[in-house]
Amino acid sequence: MKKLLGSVLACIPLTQAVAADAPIIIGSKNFTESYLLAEMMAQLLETRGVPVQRQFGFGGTKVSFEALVNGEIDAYPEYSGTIAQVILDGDSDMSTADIRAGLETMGLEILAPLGFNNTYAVAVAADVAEARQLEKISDLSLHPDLRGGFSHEFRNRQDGWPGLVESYGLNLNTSGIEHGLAYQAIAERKIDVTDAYSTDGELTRYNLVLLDDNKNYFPSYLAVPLVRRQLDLSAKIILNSMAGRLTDARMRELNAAVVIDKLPIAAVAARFLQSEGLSDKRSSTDDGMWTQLRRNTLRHLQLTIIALVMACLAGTGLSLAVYRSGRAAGLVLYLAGLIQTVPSIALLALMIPLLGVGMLPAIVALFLYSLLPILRNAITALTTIDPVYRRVAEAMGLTRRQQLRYVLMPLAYPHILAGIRTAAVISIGTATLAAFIGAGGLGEPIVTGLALNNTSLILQGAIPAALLAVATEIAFSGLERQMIPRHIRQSQ
Amino acid sequence: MAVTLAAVRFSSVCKNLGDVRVLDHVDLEIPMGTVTAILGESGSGKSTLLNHINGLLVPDKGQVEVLGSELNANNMQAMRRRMGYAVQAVGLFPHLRLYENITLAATLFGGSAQATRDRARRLMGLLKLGDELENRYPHELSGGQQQRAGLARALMLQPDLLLLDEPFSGVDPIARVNLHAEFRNLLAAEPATTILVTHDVQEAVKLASQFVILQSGQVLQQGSADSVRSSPATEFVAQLFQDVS
Repeated sequence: MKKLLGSVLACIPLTQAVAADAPIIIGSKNFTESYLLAEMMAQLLETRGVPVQRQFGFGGTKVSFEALVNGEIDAYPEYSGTIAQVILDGDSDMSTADIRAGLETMGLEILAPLGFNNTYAVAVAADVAEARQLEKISDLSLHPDLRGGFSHEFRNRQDGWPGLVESYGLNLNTSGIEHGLAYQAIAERKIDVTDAYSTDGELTRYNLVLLDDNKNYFPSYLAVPLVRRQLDLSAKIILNSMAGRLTDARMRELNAAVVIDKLPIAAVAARFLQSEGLSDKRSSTDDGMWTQLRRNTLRHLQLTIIALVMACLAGTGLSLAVYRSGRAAGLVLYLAGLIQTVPSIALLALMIPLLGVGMLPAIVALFLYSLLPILRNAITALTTIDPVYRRVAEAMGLTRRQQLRYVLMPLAYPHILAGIRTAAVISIGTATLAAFIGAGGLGEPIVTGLALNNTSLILQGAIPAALLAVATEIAFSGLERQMIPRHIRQSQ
Repeated sequence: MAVTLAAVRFSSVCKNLGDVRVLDHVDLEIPMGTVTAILGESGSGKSTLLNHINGLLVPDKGQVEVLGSELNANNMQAMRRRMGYAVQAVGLFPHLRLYENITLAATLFGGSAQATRDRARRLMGLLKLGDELENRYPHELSGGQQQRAGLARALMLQPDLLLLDEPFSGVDPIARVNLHAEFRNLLAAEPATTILVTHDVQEAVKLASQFVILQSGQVLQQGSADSVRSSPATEFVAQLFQDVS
């Protein structure tokens, strides 16, 4: 059993070996700007003939950082303030030298900043700014009649509104508002001032201007490529050619091209690189939709099938080991039930410190998730078989193995198969979440589509995942018809 | 004095199930070559006694000797293969067809296909199970056919000892009369020491030559039909046989 699992696991490319001609793996988090910057980094390397693999859409800083430290990716775009606060556990105004020193001990380094600073900002409608002659945040103190509508987080963070009032001596009436609704509220003149991110593409759509932080109140969130120190020097040099090329306004435009104009990320990245003379290609060699679909579906199947096979072996094996003892069976079911109560996204997150990111933790999480339905059905099936069959089989002089093989298991099959069927359908659904920890699959377009607010991308993952679940249902009912006599099926 | 080999010998066997004493110092000897009825009311310990013979239950105290040996973990399976077992609920395996049910043990224990086939055909013939029933699943058979199939399965390995736990109780009275007659013919053709658990005195008198009468886990009397009827050991035994023709 151990041997079998070992050889199954050995077949999976869990982590890329560091070899001279191995592709450089670029990661990203799951929001527009991170995708765009990562795609630029990837294309830039590709135009210089460096093979690249994209591993985009990690669900947050911790996950992408873990992936980098574990060598599952080689580089991803990050922000100085985030590195200082989240990764190094320091203040957001930590100096670049301190950041470099902190990262060095982890085997990481930052390359030259890309130019823009994606930090908190204060936004007002362009016509209001013009009428009131607002250019700097300090100008707001002269207009106490303006209505502020700020996100709840910004209103409560010490480095948000409270600090801003203190620092600039502001005196506005403010109310809390969902960030997603704030721009619309400004457009409808329900509020005049709101908090924003300085490179948010939506600012362009709503014709908002940002007020200058003339007292340098907000911490810096300079965009930088965060890379492994052992990354090939020539790759670092190539990536450094992007240094300082992106202003806040330029990044805002590029984000808007994706979020508002719905242009493909690869095309926007290619256009930028070309306009900067960093690439002579008009567009990237992005995979077609069908190629991506095929790749994602295969990966999805790989994740679920490996997890399911392992769960079948472990689940039925464990059931056979414990079904004779009520107490052991109860304990096993209790533990499996306990695992099931952990929300799937939390279970995936729990795997990160233990197994890193990528396919292995995703498979282990799916395996744990599949166990309960298989165990529950198998144990129930084996313990509820009419005792007269058990007694007759035993009295005939059948060995325990023969009793199991020729009498008990055939009678338990329908239940066991139903458990496997439930587990398979659950796995296919849950595997879409595996994209958050970089395991790929049909969750990848869903995660990307959610981040980019791109419905067609979401559907490219959601529809095949749903079809896969339906096909699994149909396949299993076919299998049941094949394997189990009709009257046994009906008596279940 | 000639010593006849006992098929089954119980020596001071006690058994508790939960807090209830089901067998209470049972001493018993069942001679080879007889049909012995174990008679008693519900809950008197009849089935418990039978299940000690094929080791489905083990005594808390005392000894059980079957076909000259005491049952233990080493000889259990081999001994069970020398005993046929049929019960009221029949317990034909629902996923197997009639023929597969009858021949399962013979097939697993390595009988030749031809010998198995011949033996199954013979038993099916004796028990009036037509060839057309071979491929039916148990639920496609009548109650009487199921009981016959249960008997055929019990006799398949030519057992030295046939253990029957109320095998005729589940069928209607008319079918039961026919089954009794067929069973007598069957034993004439396939002689085996038989132990029949029943609560039906008429049935016991019809089929058995020896009786063991149980009450509350104790043996009240044991002996031939005549001796038990002519000199009943207790009032209960006398009453039991009062209305029997």
